[in-house]
Amino acid sequence: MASSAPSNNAPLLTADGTPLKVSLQRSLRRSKLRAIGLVAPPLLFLLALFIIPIGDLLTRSTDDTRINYQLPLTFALLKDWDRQELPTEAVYEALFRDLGTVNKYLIENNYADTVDPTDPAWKVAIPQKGPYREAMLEIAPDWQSPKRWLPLQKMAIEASKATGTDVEIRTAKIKAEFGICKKITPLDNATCSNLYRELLKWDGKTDPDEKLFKALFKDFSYADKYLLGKSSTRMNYEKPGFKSLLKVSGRKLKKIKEGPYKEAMIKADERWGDISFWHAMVTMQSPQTSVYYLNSVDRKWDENGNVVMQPEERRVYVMLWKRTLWLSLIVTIGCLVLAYPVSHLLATLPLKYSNLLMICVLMPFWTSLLVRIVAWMVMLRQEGVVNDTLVALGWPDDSRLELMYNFTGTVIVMIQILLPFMILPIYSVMKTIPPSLMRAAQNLGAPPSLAFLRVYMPQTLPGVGAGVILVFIVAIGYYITPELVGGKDGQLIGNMVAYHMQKSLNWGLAAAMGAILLVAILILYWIYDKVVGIDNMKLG
Amino acid sequence: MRNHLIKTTLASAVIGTVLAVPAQADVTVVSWGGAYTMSQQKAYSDTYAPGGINWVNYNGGLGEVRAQVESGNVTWDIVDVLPHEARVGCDEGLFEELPRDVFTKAPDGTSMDDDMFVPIPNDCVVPQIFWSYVPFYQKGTFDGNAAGNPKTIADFFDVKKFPGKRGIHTWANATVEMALMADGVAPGDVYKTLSTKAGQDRAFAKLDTIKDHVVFWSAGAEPLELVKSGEVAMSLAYNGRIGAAVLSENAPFVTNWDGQVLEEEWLVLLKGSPNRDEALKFLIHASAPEQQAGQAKWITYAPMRKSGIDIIAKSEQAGKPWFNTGVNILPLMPNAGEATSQKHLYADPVWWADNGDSISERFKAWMGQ
Repeated sequence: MASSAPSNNAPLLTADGTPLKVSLQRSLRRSKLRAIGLVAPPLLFLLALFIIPIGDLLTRSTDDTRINYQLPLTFALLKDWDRQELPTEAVYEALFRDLGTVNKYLIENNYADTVDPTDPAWKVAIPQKGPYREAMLEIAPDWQSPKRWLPLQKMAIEASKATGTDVEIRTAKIKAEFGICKKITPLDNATCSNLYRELLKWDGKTDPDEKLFKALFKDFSYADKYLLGKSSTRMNYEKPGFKSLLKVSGRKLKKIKEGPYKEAMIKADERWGDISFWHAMVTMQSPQTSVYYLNSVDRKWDENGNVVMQPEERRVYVMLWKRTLWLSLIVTIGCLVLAYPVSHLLATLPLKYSNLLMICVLMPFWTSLLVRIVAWMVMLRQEGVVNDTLVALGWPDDSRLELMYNFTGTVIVMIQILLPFMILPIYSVMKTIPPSLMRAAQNLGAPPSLAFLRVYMPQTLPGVGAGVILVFIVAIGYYITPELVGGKDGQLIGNMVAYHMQKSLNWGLAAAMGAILLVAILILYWIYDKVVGIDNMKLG
Repeated sequence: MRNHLIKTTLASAVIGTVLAVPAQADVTVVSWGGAYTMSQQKAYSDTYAPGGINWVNYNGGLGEVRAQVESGNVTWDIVDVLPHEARVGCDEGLFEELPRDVFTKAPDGTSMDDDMFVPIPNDCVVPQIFWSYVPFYQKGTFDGNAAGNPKTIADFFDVKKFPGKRGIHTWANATVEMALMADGVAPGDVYKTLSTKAGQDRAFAKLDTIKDHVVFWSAGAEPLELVKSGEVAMSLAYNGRIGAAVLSENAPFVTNWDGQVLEEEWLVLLKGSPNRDEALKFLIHASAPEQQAGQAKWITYAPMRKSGIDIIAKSEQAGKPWFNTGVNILPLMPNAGEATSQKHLYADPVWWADNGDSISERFKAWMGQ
């Protein structure tokens, strides 16, 4: 190979005459594109089906936009409230309009800071039994032209042309009804069935008539009912009692025709005269809120806007965070201690035995999780196999070991479930360590223990690192095992996330806890990278 | 080799086309599993001539329902819900509002909505059953006990006189009410007391007396397992599961009716379900008095319709036991027979709608302390 520089300054050429640099760049680009091409499908898959949906759910952790859609006027006027006494008549009138009328769907500036309380459109009363067109046009004149209605009609017409099975046709209709409502209200699941029906009858050219406006009003009213249901659930988290208060008010307010509103509302439900409810409303004003994150660490806003701890009997999250981290640590260390010798055996035994041992490791891995948990229940409970054996061997019967439905039980079961995650990475790395190195170390005079510590173990560190991080991250998010065998002191933060997702429907709080978990894990991963180095992590 | 390859390719193509043919629109009904779903299948879908009912299990809560309806992809059609969810879901627009006049009238002509033991809370619900949380134990657990067998709700909270562990479910419903009733509060005053902080403190103080002896369960069949295996001496459970075990398997369980907390159970139709019309037909069938009574042949839950109970009462008065094993079932109904003479409470869904979140959080905190 010529190592000297060319005697002239002409660029190097490849065999087919192109300059070397260009040819090199071209081939590098090709290999880069190939690499991207291979990675692209799983990356897109991950993006579309994992990152985007979960990211969307995590945005709910700060999302308080819905009640700003419900109470735009009230919040606008509450900004000036002094919080010492009950709000003024104007605020009560605003509350009446927000809860009892559908004007907010017709007014353009109907959200948070854009709201103009002096706009006369807010005070226009649409008669409950009609006529609708005149009053609604007074609020929003742009609804007069067919242009405003045509996009909605398009959705209805397209859906009515759907073909296929009965189910497919009906699904298209339902999707159109949801879609129409999504365009004109902030709700995802309101069905604008009246509009769907009337739009199909409309010719698309003449000015919209009373029938269309009646359908619009009816669909707005239905949507408002559901918005109220959702808002009342959210507000109830802040102060118990809002759910029934809003429901009752929503019904009774339709009967109130005119002011004075403060008196009428307090008569409808006396809680509107209770200042603590108004204090609670003030804390919910901002469209983006940090209340869920505060709740995740046992804190809340008080009526003066200070961050305070929750009353002592309701503090549960900080304790759960600590317990989750502690338990995951114990499980990880336990798995490491148990897995290391097993992996070593797997790596060094002759093939016949190591295959058998590998099957023993993998079989539980392939068995259903619930079956394993129930098997442990049978083993560890008070009248279970372990306790019965101990009693038979002389253990006193009235002090049986409590190994199930508590912290200990959770640790034991989780270690057994997560053991393969630790064994396999360590085994894969150990398999690549040539046994000659240990022999060489001992030949050079090291006692077996020193040879192990100085020569063997450092080489297994990448596998150990991979196993540790795998087990720890999985253990932090576990909730099925603690749910079934945790009893009272084995519950983890995952159980609360599941509870809020399924039972209490407080998705904001669940999303906040999920976001905290995600950030915690990313921080741990970053620390791991600094200490061990990601490039040093090997899975085989 | 090549022949084999052709044959397998052909076979899989045929199977593929057969499986690819879309099945007729099945109505998916979601319920709680175990003996309960079995009773619903026997009473509702086995007697439903058009067929096509597909049963799925779930563990409660509206999380899945909300996710389906809000994303527009509704695969569940009918869901069996608890009273709180029945109201929350209807308020939030997760359930269809059903026309009330299509349902089967009672034999004497009363409409379904008037034929009920409790008023219909909204237009989304279809009546199903009453059930209750009750404490129970296994015969023989307290043999030789100085105080004998436990009889009242206060006995459940007394681990000194009736030693042994207690099984409690992992959520607050019924537990806090029973704690107050065990502490001497009359059933009519329970919710008033619970609305005050002092009342809540009182309930949790009573719960603290059994704190160290509690084993928690989360699925309906678990408490039976816990009591049978001797893990706990007494447990709270759904009365129908206990009744089904006693009547169908001769399990030696004894139910204490004192202090039972009765709950409603409803069926609802999800908004946006593409099988709405078939599902509605099935709901009409399932809520008819005959089917309501029919469910009681398999599990000791009470029909919500008065005409349903009448059918059972008439049959047993004529000397024909109603349960499928040939046993009289009226005495085992939570809202008939022996149970009504004892202290009992109908759970208040409106109170729970308002205060459920805060008291559940306190309960979870209590669980962890």
